[in-house]
Amino acid sequence: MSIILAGVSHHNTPLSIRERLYFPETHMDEWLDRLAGYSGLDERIILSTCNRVEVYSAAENFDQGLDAIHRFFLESRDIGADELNAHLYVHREAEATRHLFTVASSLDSMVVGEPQILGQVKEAYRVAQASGHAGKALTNLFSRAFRVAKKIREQTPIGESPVSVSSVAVDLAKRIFGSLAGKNVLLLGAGEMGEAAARHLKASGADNLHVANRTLARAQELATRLKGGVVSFDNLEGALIDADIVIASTASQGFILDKPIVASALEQRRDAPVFLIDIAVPRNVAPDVNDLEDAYLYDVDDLQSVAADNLRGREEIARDARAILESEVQTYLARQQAEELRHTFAAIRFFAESMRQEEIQKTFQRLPELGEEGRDALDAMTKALVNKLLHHPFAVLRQMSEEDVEGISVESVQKLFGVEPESDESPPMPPPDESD
Amino acid sequence: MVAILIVCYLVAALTHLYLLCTGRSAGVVYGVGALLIGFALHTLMLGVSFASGTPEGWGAWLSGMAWVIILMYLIVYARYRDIALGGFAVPAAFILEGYAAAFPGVWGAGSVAVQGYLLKGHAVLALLSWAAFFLLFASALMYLVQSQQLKSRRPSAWLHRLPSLDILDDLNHKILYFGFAFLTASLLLGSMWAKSRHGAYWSLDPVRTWPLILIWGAYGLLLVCRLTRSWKGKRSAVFSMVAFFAALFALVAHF
Repeated sequence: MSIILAGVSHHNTPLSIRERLYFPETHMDEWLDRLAGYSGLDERIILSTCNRVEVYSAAENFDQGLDAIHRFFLESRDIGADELNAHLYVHREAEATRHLFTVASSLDSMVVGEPQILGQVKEAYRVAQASGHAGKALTNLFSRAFRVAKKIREQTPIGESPVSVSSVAVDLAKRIFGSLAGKNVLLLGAGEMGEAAARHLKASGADNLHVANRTLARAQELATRLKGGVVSFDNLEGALIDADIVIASTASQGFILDKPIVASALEQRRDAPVFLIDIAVPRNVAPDVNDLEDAYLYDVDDLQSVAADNLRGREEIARDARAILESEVQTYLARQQAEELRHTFAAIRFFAESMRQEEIQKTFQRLPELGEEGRDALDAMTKALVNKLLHHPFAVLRQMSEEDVEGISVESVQKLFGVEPESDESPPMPPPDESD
Repeated sequence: MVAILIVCYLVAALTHLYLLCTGRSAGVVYGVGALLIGFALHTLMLGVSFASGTPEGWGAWLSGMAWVIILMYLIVYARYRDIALGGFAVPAAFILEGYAAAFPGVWGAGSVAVQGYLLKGHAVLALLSWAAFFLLFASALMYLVQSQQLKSRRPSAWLHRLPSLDILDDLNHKILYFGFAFLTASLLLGSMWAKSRHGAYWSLDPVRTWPLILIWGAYGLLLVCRLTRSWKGKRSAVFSMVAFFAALFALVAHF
């Protein structure tokens, strides 16, 4: 059984092509059924996200399987053969395993470490499993991929640092206030960026929100949307005293908050810190406000620099993560190969035994004068012969597979002995256990 | 048994330092686990040694100090699930305990003969307060580093290794309460002991007592300012750190 992966991703394929290959997730089971109509694939999973479209499959014959996937893409998507061939990457066995582990661990993502991809891979597997398209081979592979992704998230801080302006703001707020529950947010201006940041803060627990805007109607409209209150723009000083987090995003050309205003608010706040997020351009808060002891001021440049630093940090962490991943790939392949070798050995033994039986019966028929003792001796002798003949190649194969999992091909061993293990007839696997 | 205890504390100390310096979360279970085993052994050993008579010498007191520091850290860990304070507390306890084990009577066993309930109480309470002031110092240091990180606008990875300002300030507040209460009680018992022994509350050499009274006054002032003027954050942190250094000098003068 071969694992085949064919797909396109943001690395080598522009969006204009990816969007044509994209499969909407709402009817994924139907797409899987359609793919099943092409003969050559025993199991299949389609992973379709905005950054990648990939088909994972298990097939008896690699070439037939790949051909089926090709035809499926060409006949169900609006793409020509030349264009598809120019972008489609194809991996099998070890490479396919490595690729899936990398994707699930978010090391292949556009924003390395982003958390959504693991959920998307799990969903792709779930749909395929529920509709009977994922069997034993892909279940083994995917459940291992989920564990590897979890392990990497536990053992490296890959997804911890935020990489967008809004999430950086929330993260910084948490480093100041711990929990955001019960914190007061004051939103100055009714701009889109400010609204996004406010929503993010609200989603993280800061549920007490007030909006101030020069146009009262706009403030009211936004406050209703965000389920917050409205404060008068003329009473900023008063509102500032209660505010733990201030988001400034007005279109004002000058500073709305300067050092004296914030200083006087801080004095009334009795040293309770205030976090000022100035995402307006031109800036709304005078930069020297940051000199005040308990004021923490970040403008849009600061937030973007932190986000960029964090993204660079993730690339570095990704290097550690890849080392963990590689050792997991080797462990998985070794285990898979040992399993497959075991099946193959059993099949060879079965084959040899039936051949021996056949030959021994022929001999007994040809030599009817052979007594009980002679028959036993012949039986024992042929058994020993078979065992001795098989012992050496088995031992060498075992050793080779332990030394280098990618070095031997179980398939060629099967061809050599003319056997095909019947591993497919084992009962279907239960859904993967995600608890460990 | 002491060897196992030292090894447990060493493992716990290294794990805590590693976790604090790398920001990783995998391994917390080993660090805290080793610490809990060490702490259980430590409790047992201290219990046995107290039951079989008053332990004498510096070793016993240093060991007691290590025990109290670990106890306080474990309480903080249980409350906040954060190992950052352990990065200070556990290595400190390891050093104290290692020193105590290596040189049990280094300044002469029995040289600090602590007799009578008043003096014993005085010493135990003093132990608690010093452990608290050490942790207060550690939390204040972390507060200053964290606040500096946030002020710089280009925070380093330490931003995520240290607790939030809010937690650190809360710790500062609570540890100060305990430390001050213990120190007050310790001074009271100490002076009662002096009264019973010498017939006067302040009979000791003024060089030995006044620095302690000043330290008590300093921590008391910090507490009052926190309560009435809501001194928070940086001011309180700086004050805690200065007070701790002053307290070390006072302690040296006391002996």
